[in-house]
Amino acid sequence: MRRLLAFAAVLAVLSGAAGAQDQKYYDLAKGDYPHDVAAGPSGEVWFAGQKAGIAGRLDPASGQIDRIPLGKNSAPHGVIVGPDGAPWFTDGGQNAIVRVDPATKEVKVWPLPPERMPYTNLNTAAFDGRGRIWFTGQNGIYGRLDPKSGDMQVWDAPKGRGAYGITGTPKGDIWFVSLAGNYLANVDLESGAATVYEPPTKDQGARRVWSDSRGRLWVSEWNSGNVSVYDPSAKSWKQWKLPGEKPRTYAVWVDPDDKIWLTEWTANAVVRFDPDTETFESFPSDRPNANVRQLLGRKGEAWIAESGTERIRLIRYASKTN
Amino acid sequence: MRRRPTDAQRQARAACWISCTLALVSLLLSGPVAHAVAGDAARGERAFQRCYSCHSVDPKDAAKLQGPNLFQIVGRPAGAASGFDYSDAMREKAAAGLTWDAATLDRYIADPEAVVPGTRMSVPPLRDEQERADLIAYLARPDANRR
Repeated sequence: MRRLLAFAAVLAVLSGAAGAQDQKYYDLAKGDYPHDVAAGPSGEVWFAGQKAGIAGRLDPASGQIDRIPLGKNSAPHGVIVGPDGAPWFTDGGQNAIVRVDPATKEVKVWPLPPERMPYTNLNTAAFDGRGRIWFTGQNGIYGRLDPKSGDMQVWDAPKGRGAYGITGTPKGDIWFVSLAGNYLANVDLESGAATVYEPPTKDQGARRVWSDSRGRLWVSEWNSGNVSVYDPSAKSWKQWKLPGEKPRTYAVWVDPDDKIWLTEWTANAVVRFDPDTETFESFPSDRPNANVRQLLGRKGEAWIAESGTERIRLIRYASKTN
Repeated sequence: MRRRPTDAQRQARAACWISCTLALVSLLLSGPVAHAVAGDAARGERAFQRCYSCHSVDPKDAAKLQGPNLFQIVGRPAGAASGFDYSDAMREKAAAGLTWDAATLDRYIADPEAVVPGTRMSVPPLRDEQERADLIAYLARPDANRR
């Protein structure tokens, strides 16, 4: 009990340690509903406006927001910035992969083959080391698009529905997780075959995944409230429970210092985990029901999409990397 | 021989026309009306693909999904699926008496946040009134819930 109290005290001290001066909230247009967010190479920040069917481009310096319609019935879920510096969207409404040219704002759409599954509930995407974009669809698919040739392949996900977060490693490998299937999977970049790795916690609800600089896979577990890590070279798992009563771990991003950023819905907070000290630091939102479904950033900046309050949140942090 | 209407009759007719128009505009602006469009359950099974990743309609399905089982959802009180861990927002609405009748389901599918602020459910907006009606017709069909 004494240990628990001491831990709670440390957590309380650490809570909000970034300080108000290190945070900023950007209000979006009502109805934009930012689902995912990604930091661009020129300082801009992109978001997927799921309800409005737009690509949002925020200029953090001026606060100006450009809203770019992605097409009829568009409802983008995920956004990442590709090696070409452009934002790429997984658009559930159009059942397509969508790219926006950052200079001309031109929108290019690659629809998924409808004969296989007319609605795949596209989730997120990641680039491999060969310039191809891989994606997941929650209805039970994953796929690969070569933007140069337009060639698109789609495969059935192991255990059916649930394919959710996806990430690329520094080596260019691709891994994804399944929320309903409760697994982490690695794909063969040519054949597309998926190899499943089960986390130690049963029915953990692996929701999103991100690679650190060493190629270890960090997984946010919704059902268990854990963050877990799989080390492919050691073939080993390790996991930690997030602080608080019944935590719900939604999103994960690993910063350039290999610190783990998570979003936790019960505490309505962004949480940073230090794997070296095995401690958590909490940054609660200043409004209830922030419902953060994803966060992503760059050196010194964590960018957070608050779908519930329709805001983009920035937390600046001290980075050790040069 | 038709008599010309008096000023009072003309004023009464004008008042009636204005009030009827206002009532119609008010009806149109009041949001989706579930029964305005007849749903087709067969088409609704296809529309259910939008829900499939998080919901099942099979009462024997043991998969631990992100949404509650929708077996016999139409007419059911909110937050009533046995063993499902609902959000606080849904629990509060359930305690306040929210029931999934067709009209409420229609509004919820069109914009979940508008009906249950703070709900965990995130779904691309289903803007097509016909598709929503089809989906609700599918959910209401007893045999569709026993696949």
